[in-house]
Amino acid sequence: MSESSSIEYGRLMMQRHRWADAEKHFRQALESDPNSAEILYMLTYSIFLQEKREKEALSLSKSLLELEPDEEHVQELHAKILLTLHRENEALPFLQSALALNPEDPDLLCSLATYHQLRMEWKEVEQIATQVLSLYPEHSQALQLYNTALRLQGKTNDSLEHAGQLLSRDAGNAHHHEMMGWNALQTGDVKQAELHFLESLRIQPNSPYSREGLKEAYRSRNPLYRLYFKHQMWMASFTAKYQWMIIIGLLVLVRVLPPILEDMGLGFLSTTLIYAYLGFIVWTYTCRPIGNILLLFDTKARHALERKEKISSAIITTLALLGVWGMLGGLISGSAPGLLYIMSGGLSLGCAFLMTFAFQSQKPLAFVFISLHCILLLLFAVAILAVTLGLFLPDPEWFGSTYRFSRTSILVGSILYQTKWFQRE
Amino acid sequence: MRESLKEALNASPDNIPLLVLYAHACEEELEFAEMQETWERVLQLDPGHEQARCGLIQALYLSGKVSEASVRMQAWLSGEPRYAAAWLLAARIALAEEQKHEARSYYERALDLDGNCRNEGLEKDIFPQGRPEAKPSEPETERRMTSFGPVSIRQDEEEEGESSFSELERPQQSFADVGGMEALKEEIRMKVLYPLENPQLFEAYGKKVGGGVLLYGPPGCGKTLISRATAGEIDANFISVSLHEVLDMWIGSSEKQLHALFEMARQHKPAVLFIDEVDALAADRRDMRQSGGRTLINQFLAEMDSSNDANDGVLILGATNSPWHIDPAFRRPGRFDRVLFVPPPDLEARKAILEIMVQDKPVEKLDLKSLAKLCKDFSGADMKALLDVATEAALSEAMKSGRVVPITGKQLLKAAKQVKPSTSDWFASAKNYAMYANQSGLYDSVLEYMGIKG
Repeated sequence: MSESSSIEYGRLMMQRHRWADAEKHFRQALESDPNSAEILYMLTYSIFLQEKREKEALSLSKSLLELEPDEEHVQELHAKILLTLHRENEALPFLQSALALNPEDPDLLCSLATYHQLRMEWKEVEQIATQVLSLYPEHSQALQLYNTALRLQGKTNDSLEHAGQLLSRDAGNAHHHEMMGWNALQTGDVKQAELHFLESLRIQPNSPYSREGLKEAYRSRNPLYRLYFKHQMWMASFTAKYQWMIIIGLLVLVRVLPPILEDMGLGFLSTTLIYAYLGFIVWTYTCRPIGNILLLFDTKARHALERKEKISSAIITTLALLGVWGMLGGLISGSAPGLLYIMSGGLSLGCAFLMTFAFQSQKPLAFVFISLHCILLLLFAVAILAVTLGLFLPDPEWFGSTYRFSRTSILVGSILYQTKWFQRE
Repeated sequence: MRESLKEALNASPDNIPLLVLYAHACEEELEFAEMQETWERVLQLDPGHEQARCGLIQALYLSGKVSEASVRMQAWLSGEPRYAAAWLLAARIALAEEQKHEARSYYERALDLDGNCRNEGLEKDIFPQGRPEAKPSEPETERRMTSFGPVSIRQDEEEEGESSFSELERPQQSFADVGGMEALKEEIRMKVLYPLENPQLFEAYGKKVGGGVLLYGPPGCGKTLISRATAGEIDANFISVSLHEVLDMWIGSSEKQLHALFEMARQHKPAVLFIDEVDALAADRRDMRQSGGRTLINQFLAEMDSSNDANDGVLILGATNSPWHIDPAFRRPGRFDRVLFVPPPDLEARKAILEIMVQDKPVEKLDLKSLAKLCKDFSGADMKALLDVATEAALSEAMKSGRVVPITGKQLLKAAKQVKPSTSDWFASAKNYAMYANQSGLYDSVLEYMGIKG
């Protein structure tokens, strides 16, 4: 097949959404003309549109940028790939450069809105989406961005009304049902949310957002999870900077308040405050995997979970239950062995908390590292239990310093394991 | 000889003629890894060196890496090389992959380019009943793609609208030649063969014989094989159509070619028209932004509906990996109204596939049933990859010891753990469609296979 035929066949395949076949033809064409920026562009696009191949697409788009550094569509593609990989800060200069050449391009503007979305800057998302919709009122991505921005700024009535209007105009649109689903979830109408997500999936079964929404709806059947979901949505309405300020503010409060309370003779309140804070932190991180366990008992909902989600929820829930059991047992017994139960329960809860980062990570090595950390902590928890049974009598000094080290390692791990070195490839 | 050439190469490492001689010496002494490295070196020095490119593919083929050789050859043939040895080697590889039809085309093409490159051994394997006499000097030819690479079509035939891009064949295979898959075979017997064998019964009820059957399932799981065997069972002509034989960039051309294919089937009743990757021709019109694509879909629908009983006796078998991309209009009665799921090979089928794959290879006594059990969800292509991995391990030992070392059960078991079933991705997608878009029950068989209650 000649080079031009390969390109044409590639295009025919792209029209038919057969990205892998298109890639094959563009590769053939590129073999005949390795320096063609046009073919490389199409090849990169065909790879980018295939699932889990963004990194490959990125390395090709870098080569493409070397060939055509000033082409707007090349910069746009490169930025889009970076945004998909959540590397929004790297994407921004390319977006700005492309927008300087074509300031009213709706797709480019939506990519800029996506940049702000990743930074949780909802006001900016709303502004840009409004700008696109004033020029192209039916632009699908802009409609979705606009609705998400309204919803996450807490303008629930506006976003519900907006989604409802869209749905009444086109009830066969999967995106409109998806929007309604998320709005219903946010207002706590779980049944409606389930119905809309199922309808969206009926029309577009491979939509990851609707699938995620449906899982959230299933999990939200549980009132405790609904509370967590509300908290998540509330947190998401702040930018990353404010979110950190809230977390650090709470931490400072927990460090500062207990001595004051103790001075006031309210020692009991101080202990309760620390436990409540730790419980809140562990709850916010482990709520989703624990919520998944409840889905496993539902004949329909369990199939919505992926294998990795099932495994993570089983491990994290087991660790959390062991932790709660140990701590409650210790609090109830109240004696010296009771304190040891609390210690081992605390370590187990800490492991449940740390393992959430292991399962979120994209790096296999990070997963292994965090898992090993947790295994060490669990071994120590077992040693503590052995002490309560009189099977093991350690040197008190060693025992104390090991416990302090374990506690500190959980604290350090909880910060370190959230960083990009542990989370992103 | 090889040692002295090696010494000479030490003194002059970039000497291409010397490297060529050394590569041939490696081939003679069955040092295929070194042969491959040498040809790669030549290609580094001279990327356009056709002999080296051919030699590299041959080295891969001789090392048992047939799939890799096939892929590289496919890429090369797409550029239509005028190098007869390449076509000859392509014929050999196609034969190893049991693609006799392609092997014949490549062999003829090699002879077209160089009448002296005849290879009697290969010719006997390709044409067991003897090679038909070559046609007298052919007019200007054009190239079209088959499933593997380009083959010639005579210009004058195309101008007359006579489509010769797909050949008629009478498949010799039957269900007996397909190991395992008993449930599917039974389903085909009931839904396809029985109506064709008893047309009078159907006529009595005013029903037409023929129509369309859609086979869907993960790639590489025997859709083509079962279609061929179906044609063999009813002793019908078999016309296999691949996507590239129909799709054309010129407006109206795809429609014309599709019509020609249906006409060909109608003229050679009883016939089975097998359309691979049918989703690309019958794509959902909602996904098609350009009207050009829609016209082809409409043409396809019209051909399937064809008036005056023109399609009686023509069975249209469509195969696809993505039934969800097919326009719902194709599933209406009289079109692809029978839909069959072709799952990954079952235990018996896997055992049969493994038996066929190892029969010409040096292997020690193997427990293929245990191996087949380990290959759950493997497609035929996955099992081929498994054997390739084990063959490579045996070859590396053979190269160390300098004698043929048989492939051991241990090597195969190890390979089975290394190779992951390629069907998993397909099932991940299919699961979503089966769970959320199964209102018509189209994916019930997928749900059943995955053990999900609908």
